[in-house]
Amino acid sequence: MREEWLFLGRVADNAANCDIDSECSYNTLCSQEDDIKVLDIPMKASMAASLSIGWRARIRIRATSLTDSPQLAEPIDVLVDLPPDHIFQMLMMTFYHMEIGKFRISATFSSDLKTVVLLRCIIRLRGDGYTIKNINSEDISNTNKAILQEPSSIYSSCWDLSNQVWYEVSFSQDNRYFAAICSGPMSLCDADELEYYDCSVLIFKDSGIADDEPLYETIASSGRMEEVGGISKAIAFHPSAPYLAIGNSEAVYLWKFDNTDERPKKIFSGRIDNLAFSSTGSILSGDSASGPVWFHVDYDSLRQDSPFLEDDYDGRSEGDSSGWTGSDASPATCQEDEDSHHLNPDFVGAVDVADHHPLPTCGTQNPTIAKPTNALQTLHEVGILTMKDRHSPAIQSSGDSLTLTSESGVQRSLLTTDNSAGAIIMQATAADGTTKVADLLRLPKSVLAEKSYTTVINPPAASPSVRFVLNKAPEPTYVFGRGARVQFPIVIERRKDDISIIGMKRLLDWGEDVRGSGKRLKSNAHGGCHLSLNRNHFDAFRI
Amino acid sequence: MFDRIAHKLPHFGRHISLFDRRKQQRPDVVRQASLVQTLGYIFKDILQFCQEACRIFCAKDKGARYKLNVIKDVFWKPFDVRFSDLLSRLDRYEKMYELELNLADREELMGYYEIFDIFVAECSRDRDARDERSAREEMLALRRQIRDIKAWIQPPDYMSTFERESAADSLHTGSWFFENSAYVSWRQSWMDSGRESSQTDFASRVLFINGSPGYGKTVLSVRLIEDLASEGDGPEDERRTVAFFHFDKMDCHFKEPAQALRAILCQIIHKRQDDKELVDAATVLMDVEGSGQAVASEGEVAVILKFFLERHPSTALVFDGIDECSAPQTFLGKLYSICSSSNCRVVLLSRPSVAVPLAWRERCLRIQLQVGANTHDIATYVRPRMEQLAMSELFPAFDIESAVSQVAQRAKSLFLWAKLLMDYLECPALTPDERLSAISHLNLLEGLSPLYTEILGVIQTKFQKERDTAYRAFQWIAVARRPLTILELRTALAIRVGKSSSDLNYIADFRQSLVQICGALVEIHQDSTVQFIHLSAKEFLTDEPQFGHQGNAGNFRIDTTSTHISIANLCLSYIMHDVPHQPLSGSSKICPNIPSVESRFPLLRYSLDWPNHAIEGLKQQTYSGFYKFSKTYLAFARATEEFLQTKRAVAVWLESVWAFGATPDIHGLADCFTSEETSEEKERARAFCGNSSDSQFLDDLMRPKRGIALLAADFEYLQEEWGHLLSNESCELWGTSVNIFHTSELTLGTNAGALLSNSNMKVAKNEDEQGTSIPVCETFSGEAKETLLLTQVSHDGKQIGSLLIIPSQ
Repeated sequence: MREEWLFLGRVADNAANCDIDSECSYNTLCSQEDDIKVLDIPMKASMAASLSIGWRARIRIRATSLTDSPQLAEPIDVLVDLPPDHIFQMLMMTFYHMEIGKFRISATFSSDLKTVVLLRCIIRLRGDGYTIKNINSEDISNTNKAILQEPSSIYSSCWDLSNQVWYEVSFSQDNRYFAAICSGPMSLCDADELEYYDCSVLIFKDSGIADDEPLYETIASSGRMEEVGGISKAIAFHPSAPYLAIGNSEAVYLWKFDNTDERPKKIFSGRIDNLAFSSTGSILSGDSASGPVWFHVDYDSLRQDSPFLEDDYDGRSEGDSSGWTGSDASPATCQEDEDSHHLNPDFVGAVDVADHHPLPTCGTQNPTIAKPTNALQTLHEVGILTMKDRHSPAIQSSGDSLTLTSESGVQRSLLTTDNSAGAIIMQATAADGTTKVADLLRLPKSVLAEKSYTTVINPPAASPSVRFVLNKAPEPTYVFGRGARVQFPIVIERRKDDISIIGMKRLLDWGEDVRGSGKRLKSNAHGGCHLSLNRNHFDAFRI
Repeated sequence: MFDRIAHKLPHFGRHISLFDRRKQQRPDVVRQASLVQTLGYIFKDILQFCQEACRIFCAKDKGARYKLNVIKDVFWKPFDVRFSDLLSRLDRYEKMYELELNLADREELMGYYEIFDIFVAECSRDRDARDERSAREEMLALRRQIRDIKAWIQPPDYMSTFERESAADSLHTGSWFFENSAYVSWRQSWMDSGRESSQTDFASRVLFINGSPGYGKTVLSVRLIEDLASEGDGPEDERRTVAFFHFDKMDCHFKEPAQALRAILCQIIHKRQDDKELVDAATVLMDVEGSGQAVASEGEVAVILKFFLERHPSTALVFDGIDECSAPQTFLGKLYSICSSSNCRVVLLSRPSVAVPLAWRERCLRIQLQVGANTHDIATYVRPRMEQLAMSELFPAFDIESAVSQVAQRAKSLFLWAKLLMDYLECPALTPDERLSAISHLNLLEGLSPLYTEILGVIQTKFQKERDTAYRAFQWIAVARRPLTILELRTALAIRVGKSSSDLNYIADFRQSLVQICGALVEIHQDSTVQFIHLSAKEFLTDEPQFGHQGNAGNFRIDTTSTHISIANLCLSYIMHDVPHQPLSGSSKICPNIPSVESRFPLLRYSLDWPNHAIEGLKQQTYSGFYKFSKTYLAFARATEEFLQTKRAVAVWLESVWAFGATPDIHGLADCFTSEETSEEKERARAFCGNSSDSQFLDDLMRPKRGIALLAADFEYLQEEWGHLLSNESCELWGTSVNIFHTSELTLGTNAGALLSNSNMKVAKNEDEQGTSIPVCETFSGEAKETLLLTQVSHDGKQIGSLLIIPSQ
């Protein structure tokens, strides 16, 4: 007991010495991780306030290769002062969540690397300088003041911390929008719901008035969704229209976010990861537990007024006819063991041929509706690196699936890092179930130990080599002061003809018995097959 | 009257409904027909009654006359009289029906009883089957558990020596030994050990058997083990366990104390599988409480062994060849700490050179194997071989019994001497006269050394080429880190330093030729490994000669230290010149098939350990040795340099190391080049040489130092960074990925890919960063505390952005 008192006394002394105005060393924070756990809330608030001053961000932009970008021979390297209010909030949330030493920092680049979102600051780079815009600065400042005045109130839920911590941020392809997955404790003063965490998606839009300034404003909020952590890197912007696909642990939602009245609509019950739209947006693909799945999204149906039932988000029974996933689900819905997987037939259809429905006009947007001609030819040309058609980006990163459509079919490629094999693998799955797997690069243990992802830079057709960039992946939480064994990014070039295809097999023919699963696939009355399932992963849905 | 009938009718109604239900539920009941019949009687009477009643009361359509007759009839025969028969019949039938019903019930009950009996029998069968199944599953689980424990203990092959000696010398009965009073006393105390409650002093439970080299102690130990094991069977509480281990200095797997204890523990667990608590204790230690190592640590082995010996005091442990243990005193110390708290018995067989610990000396039982004690056994062994010689006319006619007696007497209890003499006499190079002379002058061959000298003398008389082959075979067998197989030795003898060997360099019919070439000083075991016939033969060949003398072995004397260097050189030569400089499978994308590689390159697995031989050769050498064997050392240095300069040879070696799971101590070799001891000896050698031209070889010897250090660094890097990949796909060493990430002077490099040079990237190449050849980039100035949050490539793939955060300082 005596030791405990002494210990608390020491912690209290340390904390007392760190008054708000003085700069309390970051080292103090790191060395006192255990001590902080026993601090009371006022002390935590005091410590967070003192530590929140003087944080900076460094942004560096360099060419992937000096020869490729002569205009970027001089790299950009800017230091940005971060607002203490945002840092305070981040520290307080870290203390609040009792994850001492693990700091939750949302950060991302826009695809052109001109804009950076860090915490709730939007930084626009221009030349060697930058412009910064802080989102909800005033609200955060007020909340922080209130917490400092009455620190224990952080637990009494009287302060609305919802939407104040951004867990993940993602830009649209044209960088006009970005979506932030936000979370925090419920804003209610209801004691029963203290431990309930709210989660929502916010959409910001750049007004586009000034190129040098990030004039992003909130244009939509999804409203309350699932619990924290339910959304796992499964948000995908439509390539040209204001639609956002959101996947969490239980369902996939499609949200037309330019209409403030609309809420996300559930299009599929079941977990789908790595959501991605095809280049025209007509197909949405992802990974289910049993393998890749593709949806044809019928935007015409989606536009029709179909009520969004918030109850759906609260886990309403799948068989309830009042929900989206009612008994109307045709036999074409997934016949998997997981009965919970249901399509909303109003919005999605299967893909087995290249059928490209025109996209609806959404708001003021006029999405490009171009048929991806010669895509198949491109696939053949690039071989296993099936990551390019006319509308695909020039890069593909791990975890981002890419759906390619062509006259003769559809193909989906996914770049993954297989830690057990220590390899970067590209897997391409065609609609007929044919899967090609290419072993692109083997990785040393130190790279595997770090949280990283790989970006493959699409080579010109004539180029004999492919370029890989091993990137540092954003993490859910960061630990400061930990030295990394590998310094990212690592750029590697590899000859295309040296890349080995490690697996090529035709997985399944329609009507063929599926070994192991004991299922037989048959055409249904509507003239199509609806499920292919075996351990080699391939699902397709057809209505 | 009507009231009575009316009272009965519903009663019968219930009967019929009850009958219907029964019929539906149990249609199979046999008595159903009787019930129907009985009910039929009843209903027949009821119908009759109804007919009568109808006739009386429903005669409106039959005229007044009919009515009158009825009235008259009723008047004359009142109702009571008219239906009394009916009522009595109904009563009787009812009783009959009830009786039938009763019988039917009983029958049904019996049926239920039968069903119940069947059910009980089925249950019993099911239970038995279930018990049997669970017992079988339990047994399987126990066996699995024991298999896991054995794999965890990782014992050496303790049965190999036992089986070899047991099968080889069936004529060596050892019966004379079992009458020894000390042994009898010790054995009796062991037999009584289960009944003793008090613990006795450890030393008093030890039987120490000493005998000179070649006495036949190993065979004696085998007979002793067999004798003790014959007492193993008995009631559960009196069961005795015997566990044993034979040390063997010539085999690295059989000379460490830890290996002996592992072997003992494994035998005990195997023999006492019924002791589930022991098995459970071992499992708990393996899975939960222990260190978690894949292989049990020495401490863990000791703990379980101690636990078991305390539970089973009727255990005897037999250790043969304590003198061949690498650390006899350490072993005895460990044995004491394990066995002192139990009542187990221990037998130790050794040469007299091993000192009995002081603390035991007075209390332990000791048997000094006396000269002449086994003469009869030796004679029994020699006689058939003599007779065979005479029958083969390799010997002139003479008195066999007398010769046998002479040999047995002259052997002076050295079984090995008698065996070697017989091998010598059977040597085809001798004439019958020479054999006769040898028998006649046995006094000249007395003891093992003269006999070895004589055998070497016979080899000496052969052609130079044959002598060289014998000498090289002795060298390989004497210093090999493990017993070589016959195929490996054949390949080893075919190696020509600096050149590739052809089929013409291999000795034909090697298995037969080897023993003849080596004058029966070596033997081929059942597992195809080749070893000296006895440790004393190896010692004879490798013993340091007295100053100024050539030594007993003469030209065949082996200097082990320089021989290690020669062997390292030969191994390198094999890798350099006999194994193609390409992936083992022929393709960098196909994993090698180990059996196929081994059949093509039989010595490759062994050759991978060349650094270990080099270490032995460098570490143990004295300044005079360096001087004396300067040519050998120089040849090794040149071969090493050549090897290090041939990148593809290095790649072959590295791939083979992973493919075979070898553990060459390349770091140890790098340390050797820099160690103070080696440097001191070399400086002394330099001083010994006097002029600088003579000592030039010492400088040349150090030339591979840098290359070896680089190789060690590369090896460590590959182990650390690529071990996960290479252990499964060793061919990847030739692939692009490994060579993109790792560039060094010794590695192959690749033109199929590259780590792009970037303004913020450099590849660690200097010595300070050895082993971390992963790109070290982002060498930011100043900010030490910055943390990289993420990096991202722009959509056009031309730029990379890095975002870092710098906490307040």
